[in-house]
Amino acid sequence: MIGKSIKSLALTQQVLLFASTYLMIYLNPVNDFMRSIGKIWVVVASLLIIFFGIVVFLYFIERRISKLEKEFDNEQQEH
Amino acid sequence: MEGFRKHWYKWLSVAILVYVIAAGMLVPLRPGLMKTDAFNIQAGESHELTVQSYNTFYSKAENHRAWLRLHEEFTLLASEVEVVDDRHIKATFDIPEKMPTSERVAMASLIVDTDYDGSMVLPAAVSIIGQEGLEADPGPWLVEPIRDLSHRWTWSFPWRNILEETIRNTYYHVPMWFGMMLIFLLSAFYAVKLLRTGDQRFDSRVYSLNLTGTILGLLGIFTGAIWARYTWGSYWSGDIKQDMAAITLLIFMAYFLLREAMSPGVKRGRVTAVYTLFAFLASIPLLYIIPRMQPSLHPGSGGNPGFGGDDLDNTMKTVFYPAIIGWTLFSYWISNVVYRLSELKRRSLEKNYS
Repeated sequence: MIGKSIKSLALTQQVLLFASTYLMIYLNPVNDFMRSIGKIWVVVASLLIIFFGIVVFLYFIERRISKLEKEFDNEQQEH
Repeated sequence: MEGFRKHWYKWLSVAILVYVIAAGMLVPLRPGLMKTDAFNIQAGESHELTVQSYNTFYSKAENHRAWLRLHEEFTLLASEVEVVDDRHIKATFDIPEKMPTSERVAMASLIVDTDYDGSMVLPAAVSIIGQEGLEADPGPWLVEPIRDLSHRWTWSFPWRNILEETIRNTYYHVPMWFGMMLIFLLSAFYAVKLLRTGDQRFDSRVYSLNLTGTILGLLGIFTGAIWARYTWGSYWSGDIKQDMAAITLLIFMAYFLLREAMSPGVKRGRVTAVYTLFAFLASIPLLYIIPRMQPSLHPGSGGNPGFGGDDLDNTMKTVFYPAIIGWTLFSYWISNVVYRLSELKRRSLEKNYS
Protein backbone atom coordinates (compact mmCIF):
# COMPACT_ATOMS: atom_id res chain seq x y z
CA MET A 1 0.00 0.00 0.00
CA ILE A 2 2.72 2.43 1.03
CA GLY A 3 4.90 1.25 -1.84
CA LYS A 4 2.10 1.90 -4.29
CA SER A 5 1.50 5.42 -3.03
CA ILE A 6 5.23 6.18 -3.15
CA LYS A 7 5.31 4.86 -6.68
CA SER A 8 2.38 7.02 -7.76
CA LEU A 9 3.95 9.98 -5.97
CA ALA A 10 7.17 9.41 -7.84
CA LEU A 11 5.22 9.15 -11.10
CA THR A 12 3.33 12.37 -10.36
CA GLN A 13 6.61 14.03 -9.58
CA GLN A 14 8.07 12.82 -12.83
CA VAL A 15 5.07 14.00 -14.82
CA LEU A 16 5.20 17.39 -13.10
CA LEU A 17 8.91 17.66 -13.75
CA PHE A 18 8.43 16.76 -17.38
CA ALA A 19 5.52 19.19 -17.74
CA SER A 20 7.41 22.02 -16.10
CA THR A 21 10.51 21.40 -18.20
CA TYR A 22 8.39 21.24 -21.32
CA LEU A 23 6.60 24.45 -20.32
CA MET A 24 9.91 26.15 -19.58
CA ILE A 25 11.29 25.22 -22.98
CA TYR A 26 8.03 26.05 -24.74
CA LEU A 27 7.44 29.34 -22.95
CA ASN A 28 11.08 30.33 -22.83
CA PRO A 29 11.04 33.76 -24.43
CA VAL A 30 14.28 33.03 -26.25
CA ASN A 31 12.79 30.10 -28.13
CA ASP A 32 9.34 31.35 -29.07
CA PHE A 33 8.08 31.79 -32.61
CA MET A 34 8.22 35.58 -32.76
CA ARG A 35 11.88 35.54 -31.77
CA SER A 36 12.93 32.90 -34.29
CA ILE A 37 15.04 33.81 -37.36
CA GLY A 38 16.39 36.96 -35.77
CA LYS A 39 12.88 38.24 -34.77
CA ILE A 40 11.91 38.72 -38.43
CA TRP A 41 8.27 37.88 -37.59
CA VAL A 42 8.04 41.14 -35.61
CA VAL A 43 8.64 43.00 -38.87
CA VAL A 44 6.11 40.78 -40.66
CA ALA A 45 3.58 41.51 -37.90
CA SER A 46 4.18 45.26 -38.30
CA LEU A 47 3.57 45.05 -42.04
CA LEU A 48 0.40 43.00 -41.42
CA ILE A 49 -0.84 45.61 -38.90
CA ILE A 50 -0.36 48.35 -41.52
CA PHE A 51 -2.05 46.23 -44.20
CA PHE A 52 -5.07 45.47 -42.02
CA GLY A 53 -5.21 49.11 -40.97
CA ILE A 54 -5.63 50.03 -44.64
CA VAL A 55 -8.24 47.26 -45.03
CA VAL A 56 -10.27 48.58 -42.09
CA PHE A 57 -10.02 52.05 -43.57
CA LEU A 58 -11.33 50.75 -46.94
CA TYR A 59 -14.27 49.13 -45.16
CA PHE A 60 -15.00 52.44 -43.39
CA ILE A 61 -14.93 54.37 -46.70
CA GLU A 62 -17.17 51.82 -48.38
CA ARG A 63 -19.76 52.14 -45.62
CA ARG A 64 -19.76 55.90 -46.01
CA ILE A 65 -20.24 55.54 -49.77
CA SER A 66 -23.16 53.13 -49.26
CA LYS A 67 -24.78 55.67 -46.95
CA LEU A 68 -24.41 58.42 -49.57
CA GLU A 69 -25.80 56.09 -52.23
CA LYS A 70 -28.85 55.38 -50.11
CA GLU A 71 -29.46 59.08 -49.49
CA PHE A 72 -29.12 59.70 -53.20
CA ASP A 73 -31.63 56.95 -54.03
CA ASN A 74 -34.14 58.30 -51.47
CA GLU A 75 -33.87 61.76 -53.00
CA GLN A 76 -34.54 60.34 -56.45
CA GLN A 77 -37.70 58.64 -55.20
CA GLU A 78 -38.99 61.79 -53.53
CA HIS A 79 -38.75 63.87 -56.70
CA MET B 1 -1.29 61.64 -70.42
CA GLU B 2 -3.83 63.77 -68.63
CA GLY B 3 -4.49 60.93 -66.22
CA PHE B 4 -0.80 60.70 -65.48
CA ARG B 5 -0.56 64.41 -64.69
CA LYS B 6 -3.39 64.07 -62.20
CA HIS B 7 -2.29 60.79 -60.63
CA TRP B 8 1.51 60.97 -60.80
CA TYR B 9 2.02 61.05 -57.05
CA LYS B 10 -0.08 57.93 -56.56
CA TRP B 11 2.04 55.94 -59.02
CA LEU B 12 5.16 57.42 -57.45
CA SER B 13 4.04 56.41 -53.94
CA VAL B 14 3.26 52.86 -55.08
CA ALA B 15 6.60 52.53 -56.89
CA ILE B 16 8.48 53.86 -53.86
CA LEU B 17 6.59 51.57 -51.45
CA VAL B 18 7.30 48.52 -53.62
CA TYR B 19 10.99 49.45 -53.45
CA VAL B 20 10.81 50.10 -49.70
CA ILE B 21 9.12 46.77 -48.91
CA ALA B 22 11.36 44.79 -51.29
CA ALA B 23 14.66 46.37 -50.24
CA GLY B 24 13.64 46.65 -46.60
CA MET B 25 12.82 42.95 -46.37
CA LEU B 26 15.38 41.42 -48.75
CA VAL B 27 18.68 43.21 -48.04
CA PRO B 28 20.52 40.99 -45.54
CA LEU B 29 21.79 41.98 -42.13
CA ARG B 30 25.52 42.32 -41.56
CA PRO B 31 27.12 39.33 -39.78
CA GLY B 32 27.06 39.60 -36.00
CA LEU B 33 27.66 37.69 -32.78
CA MET B 34 24.54 36.52 -30.93
CA LYS B 35 25.73 34.83 -27.73
CA THR B 36 28.26 32.58 -26.05
CA ASP B 37 27.63 29.45 -24.00
CA ALA B 38 29.26 30.81 -20.82
CA PHE B 39 28.39 33.48 -18.29
CA ASN B 40 31.54 33.36 -16.14
CA ILE B 41 35.11 32.33 -16.76
CA GLN B 42 37.57 31.72 -13.91
CA ALA B 43 40.88 33.53 -14.22
CA GLY B 44 43.86 31.22 -14.43
CA GLU B 45 41.92 28.60 -16.41
CA SER B 46 41.74 27.72 -20.06
CA HIS B 47 38.21 28.02 -21.37
CA GLU B 48 36.62 26.97 -24.62
CA LEU B 49 33.90 29.42 -25.59
CA THR B 50 31.26 28.39 -28.16
CA VAL B 51 30.10 31.47 -30.02
CA GLN B 52 26.80 31.57 -31.86
CA SER B 53 26.61 34.10 -34.67
CA TYR B 54 24.19 35.42 -37.25
CA ASN B 55 24.64 35.64 -41.04
CA THR B 56 28.30 34.63 -40.80
CA PHE B 57 30.16 32.29 -43.16
CA TYR B 58 32.99 30.94 -41.04
CA SER B 59 33.78 28.09 -43.42
CA LYS B 60 34.41 30.56 -46.25
CA ALA B 61 37.04 32.42 -44.24
CA GLU B 62 40.64 31.26 -43.89
CA ASN B 63 41.84 33.36 -41.02
CA HIS B 64 39.78 33.45 -37.79
CA ARG B 65 40.79 35.48 -34.76
CA ALA B 66 39.00 36.21 -31.49
CA TRP B 67 39.76 38.54 -28.60
CA LEU B 68 38.38 39.18 -25.15
CA ARG B 69 38.51 42.86 -24.29
CA LEU B 70 38.32 44.53 -20.88
CA HIS B 71 37.88 48.28 -20.46
CA GLU B 72 38.81 49.14 -24.07
CA GLU B 73 42.57 48.74 -23.43
CA PHE B 74 43.19 45.18 -22.15
CA THR B 75 42.93 42.45 -24.78
CA LEU B 76 43.55 38.73 -24.87
CA LEU B 77 43.89 36.81 -28.13
CA ALA B 78 42.32 33.36 -28.34
CA SER B 79 44.97 30.66 -28.45
CA GLU B 80 42.86 28.60 -30.82
CA VAL B 81 39.74 29.21 -32.93
CA GLU B 82 37.96 26.19 -34.31
CA VAL B 83 35.17 26.45 -36.88
CA VAL B 84 32.18 24.25 -36.01
CA ASP B 85 29.95 25.37 -38.86
CA ASP B 86 29.11 28.62 -40.66
CA ARG B 87 27.30 30.02 -37.62
CA HIS B 88 29.41 28.61 -34.76
CA ILE B 89 33.02 28.81 -33.69
CA LYS B 90 34.85 27.56 -30.61
CA ALA B 91 37.42 29.97 -29.26
CA THR B 92 39.87 28.84 -26.58
CA PHE B 93 41.13 31.49 -24.20
CA ASP B 94 43.93 30.91 -21.70
CA ILE B 95 42.96 33.43 -19.05
CA PRO B 96 45.97 34.69 -17.05
CA GLU B 97 45.87 34.11 -13.29
CA LYS B 98 46.06 37.78 -12.45
CA MET B 99 43.41 40.28 -13.46
CA PRO B 100 44.63 43.41 -15.30
CA THR B 101 43.05 45.74 -12.74
CA SER B 102 42.34 45.54 -9.04
CA GLU B 103 38.69 44.55 -9.53
CA ARG B 104 37.77 40.90 -8.98
CA VAL B 105 34.98 40.59 -11.55
CA ALA B 106 35.11 42.26 -14.95
CA MET B 107 32.79 42.13 -17.94
CA ALA B 108 34.63 41.32 -21.14
CA SER B 109 33.40 41.92 -24.65
CA LEU B 110 34.17 39.46 -27.41
CA ILE B 111 35.59 40.46 -30.76
CA VAL B 112 35.72 38.04 -33.66
CA ASP B 113 37.45 38.85 -36.92
CA THR B 114 37.50 36.74 -40.06
CA ASP B 115 38.82 37.61 -43.50
CA TYR B 116 35.41 36.85 -45.06
CA ASP B 117 32.85 38.47 -42.76
CA GLY B 118 34.98 41.23 -41.24
CA SER B 119 35.02 42.10 -37.56
CA MET B 120 32.14 41.67 -35.10
CA VAL B 121 31.66 42.66 -31.46
CA LEU B 122 29.56 41.12 -28.69
CA PRO B 123 29.42 43.59 -25.77
CA ALA B 124 29.41 42.15 -22.24
CA ALA B 125 29.92 38.62 -23.58
CA VAL B 126 31.33 36.96 -20.42
CA SER B 127 32.42 38.02 -16.99
CA ILE B 128 35.88 37.04 -15.84
CA ILE B 129 36.19 36.16 -12.16
CA GLY B 130 39.59 36.70 -10.62
CA GLN B 131 41.08 34.76 -7.71
CA GLU B 132 41.13 36.29 -4.30
CA GLY B 133 44.33 37.65 -2.81
CA LEU B 134 46.19 38.17 -6.08
CA GLU B 135 47.71 41.42 -7.21
CA ALA B 136 46.76 43.04 -10.50
CA ASP B 137 49.07 42.43 -13.45
CA PRO B 138 48.11 44.06 -16.76
CA GLY B 139 51.18 42.56 -18.50
CA PRO B 140 49.63 39.49 -20.25
CA TRP B 141 46.61 41.57 -21.26
CA LEU B 142 48.74 43.98 -23.31
CA VAL B 143 50.64 41.44 -25.45
CA GLU B 144 48.20 41.07 -28.33
CA PRO B 145 46.39 44.30 -29.15
CA ILE B 146 43.51 44.26 -31.63
CA ARG B 147 44.87 45.23 -35.03
CA ASP B 148 44.56 44.62 -38.77
CA LEU B 149 40.79 44.12 -38.55
CA SER B 150 39.21 42.98 -41.79
CA HIS B 151 36.36 44.79 -43.41
CA ARG B 152 34.06 43.72 -46.18
CA TRP B 153 31.51 46.06 -47.69
CA THR B 154 28.19 44.66 -48.84
CA TRP B 155 24.78 46.27 -49.23
CA SER B 156 23.49 45.25 -45.82
CA PHE B 157 21.84 46.67 -42.71
CA PRO B 158 23.68 46.96 -39.39
CA TRP B 159 23.58 44.08 -36.93
CA ARG B 160 22.36 45.23 -33.52
CA ASN B 161 22.00 42.91 -30.54
CA ILE B 162 18.40 42.66 -29.24
CA LEU B 163 17.12 44.51 -32.33
CA GLU B 164 18.34 41.86 -34.80
CA GLU B 165 16.06 41.72 -37.88
CA THR B 166 13.57 44.16 -36.33
CA ILE B 167 15.89 47.01 -37.36
CA ARG B 168 13.85 46.77 -40.60
CA ASN B 169 10.88 48.19 -38.70
CA THR B 170 12.63 51.54 -39.18
CA TYR B 171 11.11 51.55 -42.68
CA TYR B 172 7.57 50.73 -41.56
CA HIS B 173 7.07 52.01 -38.01
CA VAL B 174 9.03 55.28 -38.09
CA PRO B 175 7.56 56.61 -41.40
CA MET B 176 4.08 56.27 -39.86
CA TRP B 177 5.06 59.05 -37.43
CA PHE B 178 6.88 61.16 -40.01
CA GLY B 179 3.87 60.79 -42.30
CA MET B 180 1.50 61.71 -39.47
CA MET B 181 3.48 64.87 -38.66
CA LEU B 182 3.55 65.99 -42.30
CA ILE B 183 -0.16 65.25 -42.75
CA PHE B 184 -1.03 67.21 -39.59
CA LEU B 185 1.15 70.08 -40.80
CA LEU B 186 -0.84 70.17 -44.05
CA SER B 187 -4.06 69.98 -42.04
CA ALA B 188 -3.03 73.01 -39.96
CA PHE B 189 -2.22 74.82 -43.22
CA TYR B 190 -5.75 74.17 -44.53
CA ALA B 191 -7.26 75.15 -41.16
CA VAL B 192 -5.60 78.58 -41.49
CA LYS B 193 -6.84 78.80 -45.07
CA LEU B 194 -10.39 78.01 -43.91
CA LEU B 195 -10.28 80.68 -41.23
CA ARG B 196 -8.95 83.27 -43.68
CA THR B 197 -11.23 82.57 -46.64
CA GLY B 198 -14.27 80.87 -45.09
CA ASP B 199 -14.31 78.43 -48.02
CA GLN B 200 -16.08 75.29 -46.72
CA ARG B 201 -14.13 73.01 -49.04
CA PHE B 202 -11.18 73.49 -46.69
CA ASP B 203 -13.28 72.03 -43.87
CA SER B 204 -13.44 68.76 -45.81
CA ARG B 205 -9.67 69.02 -46.37
CA VAL B 206 -8.98 69.47 -42.65
CA TYR B 207 -11.32 66.60 -41.75
CA SER B 208 -9.78 64.18 -44.27
CA LEU B 209 -6.21 65.05 -43.30
CA ASN B 210 -6.96 64.76 -39.57
CA LEU B 211 -8.56 61.35 -40.15
CA THR B 212 -5.60 60.08 -42.21
CA GLY B 213 -3.08 61.45 -39.71
CA THR B 214 -4.88 59.77 -36.82
CA ILE B 215 -4.94 56.45 -38.70
CA LEU B 216 -1.19 56.77 -39.31
CA GLY B 217 -0.65 57.53 -35.64
CA LEU B 218 -2.69 54.51 -34.55
CA LEU B 219 -0.74 52.27 -36.94
CA GLY B 220 2.44 53.78 -35.49
CA ILE B 221 1.26 52.98 -31.94
CA PHE B 222 0.34 49.37 -32.78
CA THR B 223 3.46 48.61 -34.84
CA GLY B 224 5.53 50.25 -32.10
CA ALA B 225 3.83 48.20 -29.39
CA ILE B 226 4.58 44.88 -31.09
CA TRP B 227 8.15 46.00 -31.77
CA ALA B 228 8.56 47.03 -28.12
CA ARG B 229 7.18 43.67 -26.92
CA TYR B 230 10.07 41.77 -28.47
CA THR B 231 12.88 44.28 -27.89
CA TRP B 232 12.09 46.27 -24.74
CA GLY B 233 10.09 43.47 -23.09
CA SER B 234 6.53 44.76 -22.96
CA TYR B 235 3.93 46.30 -25.25
CA TRP B 236 3.86 49.52 -23.27
CA SER B 237 6.75 50.52 -21.04
CA GLY B 238 5.61 54.06 -20.27
CA ASP B 239 8.40 55.44 -22.41
CA ILE B 240 8.14 59.22 -22.74
CA LYS B 241 7.72 59.10 -26.52
CA GLN B 242 5.03 56.42 -26.27
CA ASP B 243 3.06 58.42 -23.71
CA MET B 244 3.37 61.75 -25.54
CA ALA B 245 2.39 60.15 -28.87
CA ALA B 246 -0.68 58.65 -27.18
CA ILE B 247 -1.65 62.06 -25.76
CA THR B 248 -1.23 63.67 -29.19
CA LEU B 249 -3.52 61.05 -30.70
CA LEU B 250 -6.13 61.57 -27.97
CA ILE B 251 -6.10 65.32 -28.66
CA PHE B 252 -6.67 64.69 -32.36
CA MET B 253 -9.38 62.11 -31.64
CA ALA B 254 -11.26 64.78 -29.68
CA TYR B 255 -11.46 66.70 -32.97
CA PHE B 256 -13.83 64.04 -34.34
CA LEU B 257 -15.97 64.15 -31.20
CA LEU B 258 -16.21 67.93 -31.49
CA ARG B 259 -17.08 67.70 -35.18
CA GLU B 260 -19.76 65.07 -34.63
CA ALA B 261 -21.25 67.07 -31.77
CA MET B 262 -21.95 70.13 -33.92
CA SER B 263 -24.39 70.45 -36.79
CA PRO B 264 -22.80 70.97 -40.22
CA GLY B 265 -22.28 74.53 -41.30
CA VAL B 266 -20.01 77.56 -41.28
CA LYS B 267 -19.78 77.66 -37.49
CA ARG B 268 -18.67 74.04 -37.22
CA GLY B 269 -16.02 74.66 -39.87
CA ARG B 270 -14.56 77.58 -37.94
CA VAL B 271 -14.67 75.94 -34.50
CA THR B 272 -13.09 72.69 -35.70
CA ALA B 273 -10.45 74.61 -37.67
CA VAL B 274 -9.48 76.52 -34.54
CA TYR B 275 -9.39 73.24 -32.61
CA THR B 276 -7.18 71.67 -35.30
CA LEU B 277 -4.75 74.55 -34.96
CA PHE B 278 -4.72 74.06 -31.18
CA ALA B 279 -4.14 70.31 -31.60
CA PHE B 280 -1.32 70.87 -34.07
CA LEU B 281 0.37 73.43 -31.84
CA ALA B 282 -0.01 71.10 -28.84
CA SER B 283 1.62 68.27 -30.81
CA ILE B 284 4.84 70.27 -31.26
CA PRO B 285 5.97 70.22 -27.60
CA LEU B 286 4.45 66.75 -27.11
CA LEU B 287 6.34 65.15 -30.01
CA TYR B 288 9.43 67.29 -30.53
CA ILE B 289 10.33 68.98 -27.26
CA ILE B 290 9.31 66.94 -24.18
CA PRO B 291 10.67 63.57 -25.45
CA ARG B 292 14.08 65.18 -26.00
CA MET B 293 14.26 66.48 -22.44
CA GLN B 294 13.67 63.05 -20.87
CA PRO B 295 15.61 59.80 -20.96
CA SER B 296 13.90 57.39 -23.33
CA LEU B 297 14.19 53.91 -24.78
CA HIS B 298 13.76 55.44 -28.21
CA PRO B 299 16.93 56.46 -30.05
CA GLY B 300 17.45 60.19 -30.49
CA SER B 301 16.20 61.18 -27.04
CA GLY B 302 17.73 62.75 -23.96
CA GLY B 303 18.98 65.87 -25.69
CA ASN B 304 20.29 64.28 -28.87
CA PRO B 305 18.24 65.41 -31.85
CA GLY B 306 17.55 62.83 -34.51
CA PHE B 307 19.15 59.44 -34.63
CA GLY B 308 22.12 58.07 -36.50
CA GLY B 309 25.20 55.90 -36.14
CA ASP B 310 24.34 52.22 -36.17
CA ASP B 311 20.63 52.94 -35.69
CA LEU B 312 20.48 54.61 -39.10
CA ASP B 313 23.61 54.23 -41.20
CA ASN B 314 24.05 55.25 -44.83
CA THR B 315 22.75 51.94 -46.18
CA MET B 316 19.59 52.30 -44.14
CA LYS B 317 19.12 55.86 -45.34
CA THR B 318 18.80 54.58 -48.93
CA VAL B 319 15.60 52.85 -47.81
CA PHE B 320 14.49 55.07 -44.92
CA TYR B 321 14.22 58.40 -46.77
CA PRO B 322 12.27 56.90 -49.69
CA ALA B 323 10.08 55.17 -47.07
CA ILE B 324 9.10 58.53 -45.56
CA ILE B 325 8.29 60.02 -48.98
CA GLY B 326 6.43 56.88 -50.08
CA TRP B 327 4.26 56.47 -46.98
CA THR B 328 3.49 60.21 -46.89
CA LEU B 329 2.41 60.36 -50.56
CA PHE B 330 0.38 57.18 -50.08
CA SER B 331 -1.43 58.61 -47.07
CA TYR B 332 -2.04 61.86 -48.94
CA TRP B 333 -3.77 59.74 -51.59
CA ILE B 334 -5.92 58.16 -48.86
CA SER B 335 -6.79 61.60 -47.47
CA ASN B 336 -7.77 62.72 -50.97
CA VAL B 337 -10.32 59.90 -51.22
CA VAL B 338 -11.79 60.89 -47.84
CA TYR B 339 -11.80 64.53 -48.94
CA ARG B 340 -13.82 63.83 -52.08
CA LEU B 341 -16.27 61.71 -50.14
CA SER B 342 -16.89 64.33 -47.45
CA GLU B 343 -17.13 67.03 -50.14
CA LEU B 344 -19.89 65.00 -51.84
CA LYS B 345 -21.74 64.72 -48.55
CA ARG B 346 -21.37 68.43 -47.83
CA ARG B 347 -22.62 69.40 -51.27
CA SER B 348 -25.63 67.12 -51.06
CA LEU B 349 -26.50 68.63 -47.67
CA GLU B 350 -26.13 72.14 -49.08
CA LYS B 351 -28.43 71.25 -51.95
CA ASN B 352 -31.08 69.85 -49.60
CA TYR B 353 -31.13 72.83 -47.26
CA SER B 354 -30.96 75.61 -49.82
